[in-house]
Amino acid sequence: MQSSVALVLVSHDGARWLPTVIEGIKTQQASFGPVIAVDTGSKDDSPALLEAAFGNLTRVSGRTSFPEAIDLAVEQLAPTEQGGPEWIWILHDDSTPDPGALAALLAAAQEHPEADVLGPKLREWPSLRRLLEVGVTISGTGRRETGLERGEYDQGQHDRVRSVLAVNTAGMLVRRRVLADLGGLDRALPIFGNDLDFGWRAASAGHTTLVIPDAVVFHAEAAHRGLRRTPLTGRHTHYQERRSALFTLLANGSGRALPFQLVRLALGTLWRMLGFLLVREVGTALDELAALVSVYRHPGELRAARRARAPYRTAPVDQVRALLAPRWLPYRHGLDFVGDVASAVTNQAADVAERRRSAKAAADPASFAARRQTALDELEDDEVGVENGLVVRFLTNPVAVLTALVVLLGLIGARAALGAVAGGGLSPVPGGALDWWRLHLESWHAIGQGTAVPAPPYVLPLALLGTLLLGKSGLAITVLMWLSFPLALGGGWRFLRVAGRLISHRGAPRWLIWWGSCAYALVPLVSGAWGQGRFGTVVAAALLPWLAHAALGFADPEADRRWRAGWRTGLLLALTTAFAPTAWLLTAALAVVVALLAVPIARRALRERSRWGPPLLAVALPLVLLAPWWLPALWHGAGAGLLLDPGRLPAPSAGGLELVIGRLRLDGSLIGAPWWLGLPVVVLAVVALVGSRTRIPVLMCWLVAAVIAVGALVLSQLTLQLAAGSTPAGNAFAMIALQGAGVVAATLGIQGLLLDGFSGLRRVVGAVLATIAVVGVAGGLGWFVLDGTGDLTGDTSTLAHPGVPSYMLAEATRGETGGVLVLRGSVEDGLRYVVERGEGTTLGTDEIAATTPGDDAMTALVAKLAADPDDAVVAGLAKAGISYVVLPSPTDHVVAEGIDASGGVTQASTADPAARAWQIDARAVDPGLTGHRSWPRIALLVVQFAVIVLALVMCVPSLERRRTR
Amino acid sequence: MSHADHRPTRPARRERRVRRQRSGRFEMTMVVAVVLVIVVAGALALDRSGSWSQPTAGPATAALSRAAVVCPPTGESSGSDETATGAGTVLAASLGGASGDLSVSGDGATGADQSVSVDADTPAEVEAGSGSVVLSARGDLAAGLVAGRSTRGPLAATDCGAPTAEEWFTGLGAGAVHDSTLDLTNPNSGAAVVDVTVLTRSGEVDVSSLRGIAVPGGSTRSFDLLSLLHRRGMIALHTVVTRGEVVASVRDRSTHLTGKGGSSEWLAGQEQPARSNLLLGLPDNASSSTLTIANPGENQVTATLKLVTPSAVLTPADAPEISIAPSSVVSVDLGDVLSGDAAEDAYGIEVTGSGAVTAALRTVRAGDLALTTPSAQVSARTAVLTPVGVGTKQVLLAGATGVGVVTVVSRAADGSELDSTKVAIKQQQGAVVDVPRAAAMVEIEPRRTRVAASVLLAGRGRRGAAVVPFRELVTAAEVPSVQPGLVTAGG
Repeated sequence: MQSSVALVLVSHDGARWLPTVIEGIKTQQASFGPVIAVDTGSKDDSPALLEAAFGNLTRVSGRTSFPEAIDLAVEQLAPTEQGGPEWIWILHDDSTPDPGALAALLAAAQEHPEADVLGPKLREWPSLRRLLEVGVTISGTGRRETGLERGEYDQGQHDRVRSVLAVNTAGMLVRRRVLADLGGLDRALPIFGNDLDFGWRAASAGHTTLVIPDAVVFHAEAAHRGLRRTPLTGRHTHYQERRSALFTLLANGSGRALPFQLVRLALGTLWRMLGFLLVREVGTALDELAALVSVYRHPGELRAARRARAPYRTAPVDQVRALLAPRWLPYRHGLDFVGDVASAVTNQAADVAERRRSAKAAADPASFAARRQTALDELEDDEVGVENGLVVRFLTNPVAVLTALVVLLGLIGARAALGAVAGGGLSPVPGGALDWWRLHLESWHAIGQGTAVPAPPYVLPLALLGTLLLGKSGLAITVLMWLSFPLALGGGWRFLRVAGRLISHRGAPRWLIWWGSCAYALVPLVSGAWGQGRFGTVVAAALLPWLAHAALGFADPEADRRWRAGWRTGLLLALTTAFAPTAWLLTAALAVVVALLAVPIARRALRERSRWGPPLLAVALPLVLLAPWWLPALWHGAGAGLLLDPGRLPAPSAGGLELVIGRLRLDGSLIGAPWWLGLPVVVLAVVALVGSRTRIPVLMCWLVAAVIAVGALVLSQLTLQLAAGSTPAGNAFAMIALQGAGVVAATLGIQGLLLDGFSGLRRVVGAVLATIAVVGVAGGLGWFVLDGTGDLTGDTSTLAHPGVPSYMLAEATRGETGGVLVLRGSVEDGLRYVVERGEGTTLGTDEIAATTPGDDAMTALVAKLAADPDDAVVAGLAKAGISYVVLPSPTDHVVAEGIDASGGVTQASTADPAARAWQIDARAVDPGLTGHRSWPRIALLVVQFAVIVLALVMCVPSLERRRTR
Repeated sequence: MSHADHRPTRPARRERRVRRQRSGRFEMTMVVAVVLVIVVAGALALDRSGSWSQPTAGPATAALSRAAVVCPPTGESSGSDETATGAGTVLAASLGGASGDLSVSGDGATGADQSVSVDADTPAEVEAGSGSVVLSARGDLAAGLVAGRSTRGPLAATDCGAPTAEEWFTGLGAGAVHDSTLDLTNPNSGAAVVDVTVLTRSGEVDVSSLRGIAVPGGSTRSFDLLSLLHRRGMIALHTVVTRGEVVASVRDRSTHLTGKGGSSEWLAGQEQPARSNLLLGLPDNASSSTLTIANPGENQVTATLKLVTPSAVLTPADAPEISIAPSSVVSVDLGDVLSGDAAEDAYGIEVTGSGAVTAALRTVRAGDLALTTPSAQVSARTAVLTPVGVGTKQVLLAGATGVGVVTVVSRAADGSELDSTKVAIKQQQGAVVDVPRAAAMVEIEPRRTRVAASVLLAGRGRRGAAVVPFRELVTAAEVPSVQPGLVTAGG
């Protein structure tokens, strides 16, 4: 005996699919009772189509949710006792049943009388072959689990009647009594996810849900795919889906696990947001967050939903849990995802490499890639060749061997950077990356007598790098100092290869690129910056070629790529400026000059926003990214820090002559390699102007050099007045940039000369130039390997607090507020003091201490100590948070005798017998070193982090919008 | 690129055209190139980047705000003379024109919070025991703090010195008949450390107990050289204060092996060895005069003697030429030289070395010891406090650096002026000014010249003699310039 069935069809703007759907309903082999069609405010032909097909139609407003529409339809049916239907079969306007669908469902219902909800196998419409769902469940993270592979074809592999948590409402056959008992679909879930919730509720109430694969329904999933928008889905389908998933999990999950679940879902949301951001799906990420907020903001709704479900929870918990997705499933998905990404990346990299190789071979038949290709082709024609291993391929490529040799020598020369390293301008690192984070984030530092001068901008990149290296701050500096040479070499190579194409479509010969990148990468090493521990200069030199390469993207024909170049250049410029603050000024000056020259030449092109926008973005971005540094520095009177190269003072400087030969001067003498090794680049850059073929690109290099030189001249007129002395503005970046421009000019010039060919006298000149070039590079590299260590040392223990016995600061770091007052000099020449606290002066705090304006009260107190110390002075020191006074050798005996004579101090021991030290008997008091917080700076930090994330996302190449299904 | 890649085989006309085009571009780009090179070269030539500089600033001068002088202990009382007391007399005064209280401490202080009030330019007697007496002044009193200690029977007198970083004592003994005691007094509350080097006629002697002597705050440590060294011959000591402040002083004692008793005298120190040492004060009728010269240098030094008379500085005919080995001490008997005709009106000797030396003259007069040490030059008003009622008092002036006037003022114990004499002096020409017996304080004030001076005290009859050199008073303190500095000593 057939059970009576009523068919409920809900439609909304479904005219595209309705004819097929109506056709499907009409061709059903099984007979069914009334068809109740509900239209929720369609604006197309749907109502007319339905009316024509089934006669009656209930029209409701577009804001009616799916559960409400179902309820409305069921109300129209006569009660079961009065002959009304026993079963309800629900269809969507975009789901069409196979002719045997209802018959199969009804047959199964008869066969399994315990089943109260039955669902068909859903296949994709319009492909009709792909499986969508064969029953569905939900994972602990709220993911809709079908147990199917994406796009799996239906080959009968899942054709087994089984008990499931839920079935889709499209094609769901539900016992009318059960539907009524459970209160219908939950109105809190207007469109998505109400099927899962209903199934879960049914399972909790002890009802059985079966999936019947013999019944097939084709489903277009119009709402899910965003093909159809209703007032209920809005534009943010992901938001609706995620919201309903969270709601379902929280409303139906066990009460005991609820707190855990709340935390887990919140953290999971943040994690998923990160993932979406990384693939530039900012909208989806925001939907994700909005869904979480929407659910968590209305705890009342959740409470009501849980209360409403409580009476139905009659089934054993284990029985329901068996229907839910296994606990490990989300993690397997994660693992799958990582695996997918890894294989995609490797496949893509292989593809890209192969494509590049082919392109290169096509562009330049002389390249190694082309020769290898030819060799392979020839082999394929004749016989199956022996595929050469990586080693053989490497050894037969002279440029690769030479490059490897240079990198190896560079790494050997930089051996001092292995392990702990400090000395010269490089202070010892603090205990861990956390100290850098603290330094960057705090608005008030316990340095000296306390200061609001912000941390230098390089602290954030160091903190990030240190965090990546598991918090090892020392390793971060080792990585920077040791790997900067290969990084600069690679950047130089990349930039020169592109620059070479300006001269000829074949590009510059590899050995020439090799020479240019070596000559450039050696600049920070032979200039003495490396050996003097000027890590800022070293890092800026490694970044500059990458920055220049990114800036070449402004000339890209595609607007999208130009904008991306703008973000990349801006980010790299910000990073470079963080390590060499004058970089921004000089680059901005260059941008202004280029803009002034470009306006008359390319007036029309510049009308497009995507032409002038990206360079402007690149110049403006560092201002925003570095705002937590330069703005507070200005308003706390430490503006000098904006022009100061990082590192401990006294800093080396470079005048005009030093800029030409690429050397730094410290204490009046040149540091670094012999000065004459700096001449080859200058000579070659000048000679480069001779060749007429390459003159225009060489002139562009000279133009850059001219702007930098004039900029350096302007900077050299500035003397920065610091509390402890005066220093010239940092010009290490000017030196790097000038040398870089020289190297590029020389490379392009030589390339032009090569194209002109060598004959007669030119042959001799060429030989001389080649000799000069090789001597410069080989000499510089040789010097670095033999003598490059400079002032760097592995013994960093005392460098954070020279002259101060470690035990004094160790005491201070144990939580006491006490600092150490260090007095140097003599009565004759004047005394200089510094207050050491905590770990002493570590990397990142030098600039804060140096640029903090002088503390007049403290200076007066120390002057009194030096001249006429008495009990009041000593008490004043304790109040200023001083526990010890140290006079490192050579000590001035007059000062020492004075302090000896004063009461209130006890002699303290020093490692150096010639030094003097006293412990203040009174207990040191915190003079206000902690507890200050600046909300404006915190706001700037928030902006900084937001813009960093934005910039990183915008730097990533655009992806096709990800499809989840 | 097309025209750049052409070959000479192409038609000649086209080549000419290309060449023309190229030469046009050539000229323009060449001009730009030259301009750019000039711009770069010019900018770099003008670029004179400075370097890190940290200006040094000399000290400022301010009035001295605290000062301390230490009167050395008297040691054991000789007890042979009816007037002698174990403690002797301690006088203190402040030349700064202020009056107030001086605090008195040290082993010789009579109470924990002892103080003595002084009026401007008036000597005040300090009640004291035989131990060392520390007189400390604060504020206006500090500038021009002077004090003196004397005993009678036989006569001995000394100036109470301020702490110095180092001091030389020459002509000491560590034997049975001639013995010396080194007293180290720390006037402050913090501990002090002193290193003492000993020079003998055979060179430097390492005495471990004199190395790194810790002197606790407010205490005096005494070292009897006889017990430490026990050797014959003259020796010299060099004290160096490595921690804190210390006043070093020496008591020299002469013991008669055959007769009764002996005599003791304080030996004033010499701050630095010098090429020229002016020893002013030759007691009359000396029974023996021994000059001791120490050469702390690493080279042999030859020293010559000259006699200082009011009219000239003479080289006596029989003056010995004394040769002193490195790091050693030589003593010479000057009996013959000083008893000669040339020495008739001589009141001092000048010891001139080929290198820096230290010197002291030890005279025995009527059984009493007198020690004459080099007088440092003074340039401003200074004073010596003398015992009242001694036989004769003379101010001996010499070693003027130019033509000038020295005013010698004598004041009685109540501060009243007894006498004021102006004498003109010049190079090679000194003066001797007699001072009233009642003078308790003798001031000198040189004008337009620096001068070395001593007070020679001679008792009547057998009451011995004493020489007290004037010292330059510290009235101002150097206030160092203090500024924030760098972590490192660099710059």
